[in-house]
Amino acid sequence: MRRSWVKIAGIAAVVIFSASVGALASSLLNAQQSGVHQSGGAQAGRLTIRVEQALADPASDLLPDSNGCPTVPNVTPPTPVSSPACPGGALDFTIENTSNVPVRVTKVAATVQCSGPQGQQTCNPAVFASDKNTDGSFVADETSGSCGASASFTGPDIVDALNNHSNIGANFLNSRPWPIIPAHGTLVVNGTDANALGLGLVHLSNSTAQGCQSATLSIPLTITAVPS
Amino acid sequence: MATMVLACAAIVAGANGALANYAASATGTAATRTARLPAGRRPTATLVTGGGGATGSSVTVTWPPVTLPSGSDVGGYLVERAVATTNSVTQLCTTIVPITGCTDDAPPSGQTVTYTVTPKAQSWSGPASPPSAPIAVP
Repeated sequence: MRRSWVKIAGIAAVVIFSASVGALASSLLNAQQSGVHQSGGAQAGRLTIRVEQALADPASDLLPDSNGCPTVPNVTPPTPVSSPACPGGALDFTIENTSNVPVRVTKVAATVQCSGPQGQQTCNPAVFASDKNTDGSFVADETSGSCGASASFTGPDIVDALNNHSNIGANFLNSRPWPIIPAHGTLVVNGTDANALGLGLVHLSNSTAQGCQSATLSIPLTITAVPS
Repeated sequence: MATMVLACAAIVAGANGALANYAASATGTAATRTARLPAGRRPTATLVTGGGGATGSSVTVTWPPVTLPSGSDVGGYLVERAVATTNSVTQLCTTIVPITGCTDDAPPSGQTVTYTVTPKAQSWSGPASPPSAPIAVP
């Protein structure tokens, strides 16, 4: 009889345990699902990040690429290869993890923008905006300057645990694991941070006009992160 | 009982696997600024007589280095000679860092010349330096 009670108690414990785990798993799933493609705003239980512009480094070394810097073959738009000989420059921005869990950045890409009438829209990666024209004049709106046409975006090359590269051949200046941002932490991305995520993300063509010296360039980026 | 344990494990594994597939994305603006090349610094020109060269004289030009705002080196320098009386400017030499000197082996005899130095980096140039003190070539 006593044995039977022990057996029943054991089964009951297992049932309660499995129910608890199931409930936990279910709540976690719901939390993560609700956080998909969030674009900002800290809310408990959601996976959210926020990307903000940082001040452009006034001591930037961004120069035109030297003659003969390679581009990735068969890629449109032309994507320069970031190497010690053709370093390009760094982009400055911050990624704030507004979630309650650590996240790992998994993608940095120029935001895809669509234009044209509905049904006939064409979509392309965003291009750089600039506050200067090639003749050296500044533009009033600080974005429509023609110097932006001389700049191009090169995505980071990140390696995973299996040493697979996300963008090999295009940007091995920042070949390293994707950075992890702790819960409620902020990753400052620039050319000198420990992650080097921003290195080599922007290049200037060899024919960039003299008037584009000291120009501010900006581009919308879409950052993707997953729970770490 | 074993079935129950396996079921629990499956739920947990399913949850973890599903978590790995979820992602958050956000869009924001990133910015940078292009470099601004500094102006060259006034060179020092020194006449060397009786030393050779087409006119029997030469001029040694040296200048202090300049750096980008970050402290990095510029790529090199362009040195030009100007003749005051004819207003002509001649490219004398181009150097790459860390070389900060060159020699004018053929300064025009009987003319007064000055020299300027222009920093270069890739296809860009900085403003030219102020001219060196004038030198009367014998």
